[in-house]
Amino acid sequence: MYVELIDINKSFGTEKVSDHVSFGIEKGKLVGLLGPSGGGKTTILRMIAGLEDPDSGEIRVDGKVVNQTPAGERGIGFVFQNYALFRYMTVYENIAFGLRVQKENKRKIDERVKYLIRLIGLDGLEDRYPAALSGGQRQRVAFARALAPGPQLLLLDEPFAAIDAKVRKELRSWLKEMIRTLGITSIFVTHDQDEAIEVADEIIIINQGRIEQKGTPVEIYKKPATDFAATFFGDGVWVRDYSELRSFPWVQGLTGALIRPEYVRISKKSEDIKYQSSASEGVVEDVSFRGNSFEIRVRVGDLLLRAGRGPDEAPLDIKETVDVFIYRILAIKGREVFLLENEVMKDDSLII
Amino acid sequence: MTTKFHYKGKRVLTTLIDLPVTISPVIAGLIFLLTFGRQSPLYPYLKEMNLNIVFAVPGVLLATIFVTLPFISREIIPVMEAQGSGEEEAAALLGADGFTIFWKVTFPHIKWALLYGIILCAARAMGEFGAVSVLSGHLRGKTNTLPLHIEILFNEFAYVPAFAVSSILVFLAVILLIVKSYVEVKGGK
Repeated sequence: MYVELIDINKSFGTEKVSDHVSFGIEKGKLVGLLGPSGGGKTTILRMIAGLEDPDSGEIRVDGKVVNQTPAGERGIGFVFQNYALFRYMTVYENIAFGLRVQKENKRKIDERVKYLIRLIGLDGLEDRYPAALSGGQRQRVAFARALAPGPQLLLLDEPFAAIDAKVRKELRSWLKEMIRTLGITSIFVTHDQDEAIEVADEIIIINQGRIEQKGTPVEIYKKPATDFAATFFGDGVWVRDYSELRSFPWVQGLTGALIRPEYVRISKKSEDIKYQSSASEGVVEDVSFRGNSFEIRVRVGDLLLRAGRGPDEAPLDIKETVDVFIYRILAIKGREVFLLENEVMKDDSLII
Repeated sequence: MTTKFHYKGKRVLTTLIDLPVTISPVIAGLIFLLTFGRQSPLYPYLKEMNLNIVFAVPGVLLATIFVTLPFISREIIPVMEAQGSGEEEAAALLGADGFTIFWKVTFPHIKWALLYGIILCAARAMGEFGAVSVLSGHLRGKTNTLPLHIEILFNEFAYVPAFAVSSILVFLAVILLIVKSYVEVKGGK
């Protein structure tokens, strides 16, 4: 493990912001710390960087304990949420700062800075001040500034939060590609699950200072480890009682169940479907267009479910009676999660 | 110090900074007199070091600084608070030492506020009467300041010279006001 946190605890006053946090990150991986705002993600990042001291526990980078190493000597690049560019320095000076304080020779600095400016695609803007740059450009400068001294580890705090939606998408793939190319181990913090899924190799879900789950986006999506991971990660409708839905086993002491839109298949009465017999009847309440698909709200008995429908399929009308088939549900009992498959699918002999 | 770090006693310190504003300058002068005067336990040491504070130029300076310092800190603190510590942290992470951080990162931000504070401070210092009056001892040609001189002249019924000196003071104040407005315009950009 390249970066390792071992039983880290941290409190601000009476508020516990890190509660026995332990995890390891392999070299070269791009890892996302995902969780709601105020969940302690940024604090973890700041402790790794040395901007905050843990109350107890060990932080190791490349096998060495760095708890006592001052922030400036850890060799870690940090991109701040609001970028914290030096406002009174030009783009060039911002990027050169880290090299200048290390007393590199002038020619080397110039070479490195010019290379980075080319890398981030800001040629010709080196004499601009940060105030004269767009959000996306500022982020690129912050990225280049953090990379200039050649760190082995890059930390990014909500790197896309301050950028408008359109540029954000573009920048996400740019950053992902850039980090891939450079092969630098990176950890970024985000509260946006789409961002985490798209950018990260691995996601660590953090809530109230605790680690809920660590895994690849697909793993977490398919097998959420805790109730929090299940509800926070991915979409879904929370139901208290799923007994109305046919052919699901009942779990004792259940708190509720999560039904993801992808688990729900809606079909018109006229359409022929597999497992027709075990479909429930529902009434369409609302249809909204989501750019590349329709989102359908459908009422089955007391439950209001959501489902997707492709734009090429026969359109559904509001108040139309439809067949609703549910493939699987996530049953939640306390902090435990069970993935329940529709029993009809297990036993093909039941198909009529 | 009060804006870039979080530590215990921060409130006490900020309150202490504002103390001179709330205390009457005359009282401040008396406090200094008690601290550095003949009755003070410090007096023997000061004498040994050949330091004359009371009724001498250092006393005048000390009183002036004490009374006017809040003008500078009051100007700078809001600026530094608004700026937050992000840039300093970024600089520290890149390996800069404390002096470099202050000089290259913090100072450019507070430059105008500092200048503005100094001007206000100078204006206040010129007119400062209470604390200086107690501490300086009114030694003509030695520890006299303009306002003190006006008082002396006034008490001697020398009205014409008193008003002449007053107009010098007013003139200086006007100049400072002009400089102040200029700095405000420049710094606002």
